[in-house]
Amino acid sequence: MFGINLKQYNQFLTINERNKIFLRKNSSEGRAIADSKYRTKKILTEAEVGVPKLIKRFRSWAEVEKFNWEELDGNFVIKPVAGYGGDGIIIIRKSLKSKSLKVESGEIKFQLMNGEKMTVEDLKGHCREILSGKYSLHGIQDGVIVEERIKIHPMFLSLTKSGTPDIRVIVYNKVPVMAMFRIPTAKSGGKANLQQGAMGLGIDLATGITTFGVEGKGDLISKIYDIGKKKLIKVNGIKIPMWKEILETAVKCQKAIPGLGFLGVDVVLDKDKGPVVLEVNARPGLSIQICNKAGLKYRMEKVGDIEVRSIDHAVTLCKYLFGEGFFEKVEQKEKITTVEPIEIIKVKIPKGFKPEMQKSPVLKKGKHRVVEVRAKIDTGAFRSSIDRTLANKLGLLSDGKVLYYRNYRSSLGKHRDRPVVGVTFWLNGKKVMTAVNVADRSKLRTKFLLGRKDLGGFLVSAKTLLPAGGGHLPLKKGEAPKLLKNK
Amino acid sequence: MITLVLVAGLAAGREIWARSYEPWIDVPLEQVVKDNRVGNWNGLNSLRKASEIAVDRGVGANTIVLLLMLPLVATVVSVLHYVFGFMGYGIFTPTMIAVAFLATGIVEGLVLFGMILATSLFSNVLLRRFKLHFWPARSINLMMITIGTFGLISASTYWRVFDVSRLSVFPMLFMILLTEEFVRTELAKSRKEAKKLMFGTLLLAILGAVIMDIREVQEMVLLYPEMFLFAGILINFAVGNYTGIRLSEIGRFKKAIRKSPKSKSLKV
Repeated sequence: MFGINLKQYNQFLTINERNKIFLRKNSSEGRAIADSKYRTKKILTEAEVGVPKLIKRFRSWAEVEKFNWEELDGNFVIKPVAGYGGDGIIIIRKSLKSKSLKVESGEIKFQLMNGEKMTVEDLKGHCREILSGKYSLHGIQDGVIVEERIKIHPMFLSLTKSGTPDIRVIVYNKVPVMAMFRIPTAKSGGKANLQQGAMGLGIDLATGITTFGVEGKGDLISKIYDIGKKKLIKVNGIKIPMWKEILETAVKCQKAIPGLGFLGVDVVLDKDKGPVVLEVNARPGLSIQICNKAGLKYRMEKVGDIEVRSIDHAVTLCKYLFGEGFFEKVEQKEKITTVEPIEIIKVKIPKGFKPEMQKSPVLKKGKHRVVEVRAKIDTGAFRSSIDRTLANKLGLLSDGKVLYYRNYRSSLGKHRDRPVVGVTFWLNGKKVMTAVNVADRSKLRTKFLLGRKDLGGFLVSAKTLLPAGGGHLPLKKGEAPKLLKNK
Repeated sequence: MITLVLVAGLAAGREIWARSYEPWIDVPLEQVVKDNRVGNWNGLNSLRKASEIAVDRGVGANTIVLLLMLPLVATVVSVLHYVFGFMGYGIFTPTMIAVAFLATGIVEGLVLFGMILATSLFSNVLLRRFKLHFWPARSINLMMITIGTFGLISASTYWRVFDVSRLSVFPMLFMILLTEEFVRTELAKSRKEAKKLMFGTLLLAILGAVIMDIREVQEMVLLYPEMFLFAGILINFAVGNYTGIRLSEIGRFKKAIRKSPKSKSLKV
C-alpha cells in the first residue's frame, strides 16, 4: 500500500505499545525511584554502581543557609532532585579564593563552566529557586542535591562545546537491548535530550562502535563536527571507550531497581572513575530506534523469556544477539570468498579453559587459541549447530556461554530445548561471532554444521563433485564430471 | 501547519456555504424534537425520553445536543490521537476548544485565539523585565487579554468584518487555558514542541467543531442519543486496546528501515 510494506514496521516499538504493554511492567515504586535523583543515587550506591558522589542534600531553606559553602573547593554541581530534561543544573568549575572581587551581593567565590562568576549568595538563591519548585514537573516543592562534578572523558569533549554527552542504554529483562550516544548541541541548549534537539548516534552493542545518526526526533544525519580535528567526521565508526563496562553498569542498574522492567540508563564516562550513572529513565523515548535503524520490539521479544543468570550472561547475550555484521560488510566490499561444501573452520576456545582434545591440536591465532573443526555447509539451515560432545570439549557449554534454550525444528521433527551458545570462529580467515545451537551430531561425520546466518559474504561452490563415499575427489583436467545416479 | 491551514480553510468554507445556502438551518432544533415524538418509556430510550421532556420544559435543544456531543468529540479526538497520531494538549483541551469554536464560529474563534496568543506572548516578554511573582504576572496578562478582546469586539463592530455577536466569555477562557498550556510547554520542553502541540490541538478542535456543527449529526444525536453513546463506548474500547502503529509513526520510522540486500538486487 502506497509503497509501504507494513510488515517492515512490525519490528518497531510504537508509542501505543510502549505505553500500554511495556510501561506497565514498571511499578509505581520503581517510577518514583527513577523520578528522584536522590533515591536513584542512594540505591545505585548500595548496588555498587558508579554515581557522582553526593556532597550535600537540602530539603529546606534553613539547610541551605546553615551549610558552609565556603568549604567547597569547586568541581561540584547543583541539581534539582525531581528536575527533568537537565533544567536547573549549574556546574561550578572552580572556587576563586585568592583574587576575590567585591560585588553588590558579596564576594565572588565561584566560577561556572561557562565562565560566569557567582557569589555564595547567588548559589543560595539558585537553591531557593529549586526548592520552591521552579524546575520540578508541576511546580511542586523540590529538593536540592549538591554532587561532585564529572570529569568528562576526553574523547567526548571533541564532539561538543556545550553540555555533557552521555550514553543511553535501554535495558529490558536485565539485557541491554539498544544503545545510543547522545550529543548536546547549541540548539538543545546543552541538554542531551533528543526532544530538545540533541543528536543521537546509534551504537552497535557488540563492539561499541557508532552506526547511524539522528538529530532531534527524526532527522537522519551522516556527519558531525569534530572540534579537535576541526572538520566534519562521519557519524559511524566512532568507538565508545570502556564499552563492556558501560553495558555492565546498565545491567547492574536494572538489578538494583527491580521495579523497572523496561528502562533507559543514562551513563557518562568519567575520566578517572569510568562509567557513572547520571539518571535512570522509566519512560525512555523511541527515537533510539531511528539512529540504530533497528526495532526495539523485535529485540525485546527476543530476550523477553530468557532467564538471565548473571551480568556476564546479559552482556554476552546482547553482544551475540544484537551485534551488527561489521566484519561481513567490510569483507563483502573487498571480494566475495567462496567456500566449499566442507570447510575447515577454526573455533575459538574461551579464555582460561583447558580443552581435552585428543586428535586435533590446539593452535594459536593471534591472541586466541583455536581448534580446527570440519564443518559442513548447509544453506537449508538458518543457524549453525555444533555437536554437544565437541562443544563440551571446547568449553562452550560453561555457564556464561549458554545464551538461552530454544525449541528447534529440524527435518526429522521437533527437538526440545537445545542450548544456544555464543561461538567465535574463523571461516576462510573471516572472523564470525555468532549464536550456535548445540545438537547431538555424534553419529555424523562433521561435528559442525554451518547455517546460512553465518555465511553472509560467502559464495558456496558446489563444483567439486562428491562421490557416494563422501570426501573430496578432485577432477582431472579435461575430464567431464560424472553424474551420480540414484539407485 | 499546512494541514491546519487547509482544514481551517475547508471548515470556514463549509461554514460560509452552510450559512448562505441552507435555508433549513433556521429551523430550530426544538422543532425537530417536537416533530419526532418518541413513544412510551421502555428503558432503552431513557435518554431520548429525558431529553424530550427537558426540551418540553424549556431547556434549549442546543444545550442538550452539546452535552450529548461532548463525549462524541472526545471519542473523535482519542481516535485521531491513538490511531492517526495527532498530538494535542491532552484530550480535554481540544474538546473544550472545539466547543469554544462551535460557540464563536471557526474563523472568529481562530482570530480570537490568535489575538489572545499574541497578547499573551507580548505581555510575557514585557513582564519578564519586572521580575514579578508568577501569579500577579498572569493576572496582568489576563488584563491585557481582556483589553485585547474588547478591542477586537469594538474593531469588528466598527468595520463589520467578523460576526462577533456570538462571542462570549467562556470561549475566551478556554482559549486562555490553551495559551497557558503553550507557555508552560515552551518553558518545560521547547518552543518547537509547544508549537507542534498547539497546532495539533487547534487541528483536533477544528475537526471536532466541524463534526459538531453538521446539522445532520446534531439531529441524529438528538433523536438517537443511546445509539451514539453505545457506539462511543464501543469505539473507545477498541481504541483503548489498540497497540498497533500510529499512522504518523509510519513516516517517523520509515527512516529506520534498512534496505535489505534483497530489494537492492531487485532494483538492479
